[in-house]
Amino acid sequence: MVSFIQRLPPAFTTFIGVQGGTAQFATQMLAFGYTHPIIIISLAFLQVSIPARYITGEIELKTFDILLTKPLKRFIIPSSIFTFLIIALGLQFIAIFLGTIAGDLYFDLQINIADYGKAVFVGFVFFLSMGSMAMAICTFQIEKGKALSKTIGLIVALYFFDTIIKLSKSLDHLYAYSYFQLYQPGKLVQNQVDASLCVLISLVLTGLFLMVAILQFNKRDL
Amino acid sequence: MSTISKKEYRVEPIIQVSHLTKYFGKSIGIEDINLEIHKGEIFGFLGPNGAGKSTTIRLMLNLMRPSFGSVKIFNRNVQKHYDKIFNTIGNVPGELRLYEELTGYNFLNYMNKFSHQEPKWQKELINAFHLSHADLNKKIKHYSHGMKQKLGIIQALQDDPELIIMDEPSEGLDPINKNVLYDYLQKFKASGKTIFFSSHYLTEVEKICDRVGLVKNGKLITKETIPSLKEKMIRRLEVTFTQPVLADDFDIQSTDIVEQDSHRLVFNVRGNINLLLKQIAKYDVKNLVFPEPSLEDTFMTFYEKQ
Repeated sequence: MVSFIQRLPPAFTTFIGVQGGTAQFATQMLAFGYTHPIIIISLAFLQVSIPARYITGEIELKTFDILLTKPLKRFIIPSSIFTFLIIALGLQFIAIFLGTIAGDLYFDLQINIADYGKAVFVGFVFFLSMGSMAMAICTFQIEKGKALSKTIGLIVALYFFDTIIKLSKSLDHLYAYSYFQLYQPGKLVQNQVDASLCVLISLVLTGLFLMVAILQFNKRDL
Repeated sequence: MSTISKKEYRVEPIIQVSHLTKYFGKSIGIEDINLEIHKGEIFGFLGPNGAGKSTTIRLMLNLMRPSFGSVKIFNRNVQKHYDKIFNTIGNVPGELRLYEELTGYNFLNYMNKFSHQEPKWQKELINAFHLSHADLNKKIKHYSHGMKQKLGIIQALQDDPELIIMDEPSEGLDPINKNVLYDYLQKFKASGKTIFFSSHYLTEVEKICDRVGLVKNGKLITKETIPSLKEKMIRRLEVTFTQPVLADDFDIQSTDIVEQDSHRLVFNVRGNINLLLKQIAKYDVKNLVFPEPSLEDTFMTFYEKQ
């Protein structure tokens, strides 16, 4: 496996955050699991699809015409959907973390579980900010399809931007502007990035977009 | 002896709509609608499709924000106090969409939870609309349009609301269930409830409402009591006689002959029809057709006046 990784182009190994032959190979491989495209897609899909279905989808279906003529404050709708996101995302990350612990015990990797806990928490807050962003976009839309395509489009564009920065050394100066730099499990478990800063920025983004979502949902026509 | 304040003497309207206007970009949704609906009345909101009935109702229910104007329900601004006001409102939306994955019972009980009280009318309405136990245990996605409409009506009425707002509630109901709906609305009215009822059928508005507002192209053309509406409305009467008749014999006030041949006359009658009927009775009548007045004719009556 190590020799296979060593044969890959350097740009690619930099991109996946795994360099063969180093002492941290096992740690890096485990961390790569956290950023594997399948994991990213499944985590992001939930954050995008829940607001699209339960905000824009309900607006499109006109089911709010009955629900919001009951004695219910409007902000409860986006707030409860956000709570739903927290629970769903929390369960996903708990499952990922349990998988890491199980892997560590089974293969006796002797990794520092606390570092992975840190990566899990950073990931949780990062994807929550993504969900909050998706919620804000969905409150401006009236069709679920458009809400989904705009949110997915934005996330893909941000991911693409991050990939280009990772692959091109001449674009290193743009590193600080990449959204996906807030979630770098490979670097987090090796203490190469400041986890608290990632959490702080993700929380600020979450709060900001959640506020936009609540304000827009409160004032919009249904 | 306790004193009664001036406020208690004054009867405030249940719904107060002032200069309500909604623009959708450059197009007009509704413009300068003014209405006052009083306690215990059934107010019919009559207009063709796309006239602005649903937009007015959505603005009244805070589902849309007005471009100008305001709506007060129970003397409280709807935009500010909707969550308190809606405790006493039952609503049947125009495009009724329910939670398809819930069963009928689950849906009714879920809607009832918001009122924090027992659903006073639920059982009676379920029986009246002939919804069986088996029907209500099925998922809503398996319901017909009529059954969904019944469920929508039951959820609106089950908690004994003070104000009932209905946007074309009889759509999709068969004549028997339409009559059940009309009977219950009369029952609610008799117990002092206020009802705002939108429709594009003149006959049902005539049948159950005390007053009617005619809306077309986003504007409120007139507000009339039902007797006054009937008085002003033009109705068509087509009579075929067994022998030839002279049109001059039917020169009656508020009656115009719009078509004629030797045995047949078609009249447009405004208001009282008795004088014409007495005149017709002098002849041997072969056939008499008195169709329901069309909504378009009714609107024309008021457009001509304007």
